[in-house]
Amino acid sequence: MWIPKDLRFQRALFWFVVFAAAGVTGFLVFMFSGIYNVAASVQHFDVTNRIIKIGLWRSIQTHSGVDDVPALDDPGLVRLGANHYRIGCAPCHGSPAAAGSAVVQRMYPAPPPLTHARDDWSPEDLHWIVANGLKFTGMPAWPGAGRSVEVWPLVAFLEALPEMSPTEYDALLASPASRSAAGLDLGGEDAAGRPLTAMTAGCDACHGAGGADPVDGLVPALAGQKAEYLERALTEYRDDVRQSGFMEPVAHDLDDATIRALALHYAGIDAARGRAGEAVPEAPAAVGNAERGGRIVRFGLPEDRVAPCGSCHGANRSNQFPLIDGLSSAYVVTQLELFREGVRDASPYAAIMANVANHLDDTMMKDVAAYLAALPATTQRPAPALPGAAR
Amino acid sequence: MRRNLLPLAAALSLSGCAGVQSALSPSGAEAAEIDPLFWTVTGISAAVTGLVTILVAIAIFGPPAWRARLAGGWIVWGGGIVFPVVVLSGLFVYGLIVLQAGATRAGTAEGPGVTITGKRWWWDVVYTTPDGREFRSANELRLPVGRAVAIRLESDNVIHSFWAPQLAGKLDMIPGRTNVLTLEATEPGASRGQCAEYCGGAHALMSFWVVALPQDQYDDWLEREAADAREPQTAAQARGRELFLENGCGACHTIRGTGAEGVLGPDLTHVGGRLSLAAAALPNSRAAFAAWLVENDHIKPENLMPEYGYLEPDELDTLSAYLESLE
Repeated sequence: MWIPKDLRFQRALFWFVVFAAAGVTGFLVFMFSGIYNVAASVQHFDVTNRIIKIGLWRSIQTHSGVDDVPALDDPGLVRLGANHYRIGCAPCHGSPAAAGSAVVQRMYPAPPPLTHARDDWSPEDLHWIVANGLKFTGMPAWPGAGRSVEVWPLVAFLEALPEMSPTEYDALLASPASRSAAGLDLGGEDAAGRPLTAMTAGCDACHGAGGADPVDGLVPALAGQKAEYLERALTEYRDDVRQSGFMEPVAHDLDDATIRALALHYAGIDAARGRAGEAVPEAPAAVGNAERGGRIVRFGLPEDRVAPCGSCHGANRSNQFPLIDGLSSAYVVTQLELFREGVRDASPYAAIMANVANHLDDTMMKDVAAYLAALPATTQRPAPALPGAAR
Repeated sequence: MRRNLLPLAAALSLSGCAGVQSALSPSGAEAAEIDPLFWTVTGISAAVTGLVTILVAIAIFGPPAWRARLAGGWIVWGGGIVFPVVVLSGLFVYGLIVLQAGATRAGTAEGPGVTITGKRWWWDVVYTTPDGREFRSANELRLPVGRAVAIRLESDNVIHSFWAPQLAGKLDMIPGRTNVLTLEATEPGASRGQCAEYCGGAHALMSFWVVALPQDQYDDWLEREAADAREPQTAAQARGRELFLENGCGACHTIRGTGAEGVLGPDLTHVGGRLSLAAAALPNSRAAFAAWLVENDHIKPENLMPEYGYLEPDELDTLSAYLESLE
């Protein structure tokens, strides 16, 4: 190549191109030769490890951050988090009760024990990691698409984990039958082969046994709910039609017969039995005006195009429409927001409710929730037999 | 291409003049006054256009003597100033007289009148019976022949415009304000009306029917329309009513006498007796009810009603049969 002697910068360019070409060639040879060992049994070089960790840390710092962090010392949140942790996290990360599986410990990187996760990461970071997962580590993203707010109970649990003794952890898991199980103990087996009590133990852990209050306001009470609605809800969770990181993994292995049996079981429980009957105390800012809410439920707000809730949600309405009396305020507000934001609109039923919720503002949602939460739960009795052909 | 389009355009413009939605076949007092105004203005415009065309032709192709005569100052003064001032002033005054017609006739309106509210995208119609009971109907206006009726026009969203071409001119429906139009049907029969002010995506599908009835038939109809809904006559219709209530239709729709008292959507108490469905977007038939229930957003995009896609075919048929029976 001819280079004018007085142009040194072009000379530098020449050498730059030569080195770049050599670098690319070297990289291609490295990549296609297969020299690099991808075995999980072989550790990274120290330098590789450091680079990965810096990249991981910087990426999480850059991406994490949310508008509002709920009060993480709420015992209800911790308890709900503990019950999901047992199903979704403990099999790999271990728990105060048991270390993670020996098989999982040979993953590379091995899922770390989370006892001191809160020392390494802020609540916002933990929320981001649980909601989004981490590439190339085996850490999955949250199963409920669009429901990253659901992750906070897990974060609350992780914040409480360092001080937690195995006994305390065990006590948080409401169902004795489920304490020893590390993995998914619900479903996966034929409904006929197992007694109903063993099946419902897992549900009761969060939703409350025998009509008792659920572990947290975010969890709906099931006692006395319409069987057809419960059946549809579980089916939609199983089929990824309705989104929830809590419910989708639980419903995943349920067959139709099990779903029907569970639905009938909860529909048949008297809602009034076992309930504490006291509203869970909430922050004043979160509480709506029950009187205004009552007007919306009974008459709607015609000038704002809000239909009255009671027109569809009542004992003598379609069995596909849930009863809403006595549902907790947090659950009602959360679900209304999901309808409005388009997270819960995939089924034809939810699409109708999404249309309705589009006309509700935040204040109306809180008002309606406050009114419904103060009502005694209605029970549809006797539990109706399911139609032969399920929709 | 152009040669092919011309007959088509002519056919289209002509067909627009003879239909149920034509201002050129007046069947109302105000339209009957607008009609000669239209023909007068059209005739004078045609005459002036013809005259100008002839003068231009002379100016270009005429013999030199004619062209010289046209070049005088008088053509500017006479043809450019005096003639237009006289003709246009005359038309203006004539137009003013006709436009005043509605206002003066308002005094002649008898009875309680009708309130029509422009909705998204349909018409809420409130009648009052002679004994003072108010009741709602929708998407259709019935009038007695030979009696002036005050129509109060309102809107609960954007500006609409109420136009029943065979009966009268347009009048806007403006949110927060009541405009009054006086309609007097001069002969019995049905004609079609249309929202005449762009009001959103489905504006073109916001139509209605006006039915003019002889006074005695009108009185009978008003009495029937004010009454509660017809009881189901068959088991299928009874099941249809159950489905209507079970599925929460009463949240938005009223069927008087059933407990369904929603006010967000059209009153359906006598929906089966109307000439059309969905503000004249569909014919009034069982199939149209069923189609509307499951794919109304396809028929009238972004209307406020949700689609009831989960209804089974037999449920749709039963529910439609009940609605169709509500005459």
